[in-house]
Amino acid sequence: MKKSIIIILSLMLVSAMAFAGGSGEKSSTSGGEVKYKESIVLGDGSQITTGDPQSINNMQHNRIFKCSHNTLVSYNSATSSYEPELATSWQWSDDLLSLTLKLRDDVTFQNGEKFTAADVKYSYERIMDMNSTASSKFVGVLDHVEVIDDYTVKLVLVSKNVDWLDTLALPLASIVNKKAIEADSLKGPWVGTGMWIITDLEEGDFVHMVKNENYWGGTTPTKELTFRYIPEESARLIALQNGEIDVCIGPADTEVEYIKSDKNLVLIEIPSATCCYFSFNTSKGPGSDENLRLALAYCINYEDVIFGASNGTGTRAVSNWGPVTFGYYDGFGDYKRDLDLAKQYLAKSAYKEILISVRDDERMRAAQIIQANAREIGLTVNIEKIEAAALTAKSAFKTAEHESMIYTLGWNSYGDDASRAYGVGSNTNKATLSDDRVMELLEIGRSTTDETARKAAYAEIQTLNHEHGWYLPLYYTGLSVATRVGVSGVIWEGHQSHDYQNIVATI
Amino acid sequence: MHRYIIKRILLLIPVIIGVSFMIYFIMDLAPGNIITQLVGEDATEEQIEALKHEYGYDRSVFYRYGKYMLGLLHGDLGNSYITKKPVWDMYITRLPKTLWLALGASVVAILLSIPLGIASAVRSGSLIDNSCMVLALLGLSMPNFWLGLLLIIEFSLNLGWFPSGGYSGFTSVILPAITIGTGHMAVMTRTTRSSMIDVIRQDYLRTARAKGVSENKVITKHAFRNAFIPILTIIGDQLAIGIGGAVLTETVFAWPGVGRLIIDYVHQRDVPVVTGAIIITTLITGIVHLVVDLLYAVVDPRIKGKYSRKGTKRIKVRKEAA
Repeated sequence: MKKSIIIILSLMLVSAMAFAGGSGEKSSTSGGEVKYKESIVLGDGSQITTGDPQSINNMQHNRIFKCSHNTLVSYNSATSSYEPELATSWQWSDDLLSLTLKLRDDVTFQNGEKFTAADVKYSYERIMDMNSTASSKFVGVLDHVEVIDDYTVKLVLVSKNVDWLDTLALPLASIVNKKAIEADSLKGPWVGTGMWIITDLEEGDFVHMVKNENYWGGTTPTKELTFRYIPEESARLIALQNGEIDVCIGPADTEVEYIKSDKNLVLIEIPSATCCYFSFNTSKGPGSDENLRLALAYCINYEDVIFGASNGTGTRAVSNWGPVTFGYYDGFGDYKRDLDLAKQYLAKSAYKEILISVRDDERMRAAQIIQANAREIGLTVNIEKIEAAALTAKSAFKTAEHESMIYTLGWNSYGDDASRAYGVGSNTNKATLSDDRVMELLEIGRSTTDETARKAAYAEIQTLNHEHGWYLPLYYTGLSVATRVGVSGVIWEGHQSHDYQNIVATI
Repeated sequence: MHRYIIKRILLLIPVIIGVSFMIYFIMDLAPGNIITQLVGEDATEEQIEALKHEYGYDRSVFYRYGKYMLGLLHGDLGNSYITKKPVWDMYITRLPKTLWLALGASVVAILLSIPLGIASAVRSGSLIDNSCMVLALLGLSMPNFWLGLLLIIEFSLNLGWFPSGGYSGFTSVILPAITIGTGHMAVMTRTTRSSMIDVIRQDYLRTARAKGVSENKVITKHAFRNAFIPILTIIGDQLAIGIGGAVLTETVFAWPGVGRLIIDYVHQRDVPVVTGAIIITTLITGIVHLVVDLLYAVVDPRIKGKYSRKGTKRIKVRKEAA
């Protein structure tokens, strides 16, 4: 009996000592006194399905690829300029049909292979063969790649495109290693030249990365990065509040006040480049009638839409263009709400009814407010909420069946990004525009380096849009990120492809 | 018994054919397809046509279904259109986590429902009975995503006892298991109660009491064992439902389970993943029900005879004699 008690007490003592340890949080120091967390976890509401930068192009994947891979150039949104990355310098040909780049000679891939011009050729040819979301940026734009020598490469374009450098800066243009891909077609593309090595990827669960100790671009005190998929917004914020994650990407608008009031958390509000807009199908139906379009333009209470749809976190969008996209222009001013003017336009219209298609709750709220506003001028607005994939199919350019829709578009910084919204044949052209003058202006914008001429062309597109009401810009969506106190080193981007390469968290 | 098991397994084949046919055609009828998901909205016509040809969308759905079933005959569930990974690999990565959750929920439900159901039946009509039924009704009515969030706020955020989500070992199973188990508990409690009430009134229990058997033994050894068959059925049903994936709970707790796999890839129109995942889930559900049926024979030896060849013969002879 006595022996049993002694054994039990000893076990309890040992257990107490085992669990009595500190938080177990590992730290590293840099420059002496400041302690940094070795492992940082980020909670994201969008899931990661692949570690192949050339197979997909969206914000959640771009955040990963900016850590694991490098591109030839990078875009500095603070200075609106392109900076060297794997390329050290570049030169356009006089006819703007080719771009020659000099490459770094001190870079190795994460598998130890040396980076050369042959990798650029392989990477870009692979993108064009892949038929992925990334491919559309290259197919029909890049004609071929010439390897001049080990550290010089020439990119020959199909036609002039002065915004080509922006495409080269996108994560989809990341350089990959041929040997790694031939050895393992699934995990081979994970191998890049970036600061972070993808070690594990569970689709719809997490991506785990460790620091590349041989990274050419420097080092960081952080040793591990994990992106965790937490779809439920409240659960994601709770995970941040109790320290399970260090960064909460995309907290709910309704929880912004909780974050501000929590002294352990920091709310980072970022000017968004995502525009929520109302689009008409201008090729047929009610949307083809300019009078109806302008009737709606002048009857919408835009402030109510921002407040009701985005919980007040959005900012008014005057032009259907990215706020930091090259060529932004809003000199025509806002649509000032004028019910008498709206009624006049409606009286001239052959249509008195229109259907709005939406795909999510925020857009539904916007549609409901617009419906109420339209009722005031005698216009009947019906609303249908359908699934995202169904709405994409319904609004495809060639077969568009929608009458109107409320959608969002994340704008990039380069001017030719407007081709997505205004170009003939683009499935992002939700207004199904086929305007010859707009196409001429887009061509001017992409084929000259004269900034004044480019800006004038893009300004005219936006003015035409305002006059004809093809798209009614509503608001730029609210964009915020919440972090634990002490997190820094991130470059926050309006298009949400934040750069987490140098993220650190002090203890 | 062996013939019975083989017969039940063979019966799964038409079930799988029916399920795969339905899923394949429903996915095809739904607007939108994988092509736009793969190339995005800025793709050229050539890209779209090339992909349509690669994935068979330039042919009829019957052609695609036939090709899929041919692969299935060879044990190949195909590859995901999105991730390019084998569907089997994607499913098997998530299955253990779903099993953990389903088993955890069943344990929670059993531990709560059986004592509550027995107490309720033994004290039928009393305050205890009414309280148990109110509890059961609460468990049934409460939306589990709401309960899940409440549990996270209290036990994860305020008390710090459990992680708020994700799969990270034993402690991470507890809150989601309680969330799902509460709903299951409600159904099981009511079934246990009604099954026990039926049995408690039987004459043989009166005889047992008259012979001096303690009330505890009367209830647990005699009554409960005879009342257990319907309870076992419900346990099997709830376990099968849990294995199919509890999508809402998995979303709230960021649980990387089978339910979310299916829902996420339905939205992306990834037909091989959805079809393959549902086929495997159907198989597992069928096996769970078979195991439950076999367990009946363990609980009630009278049933064992019906499963065996001898038993069937005996019954036939008796019928002929009659």
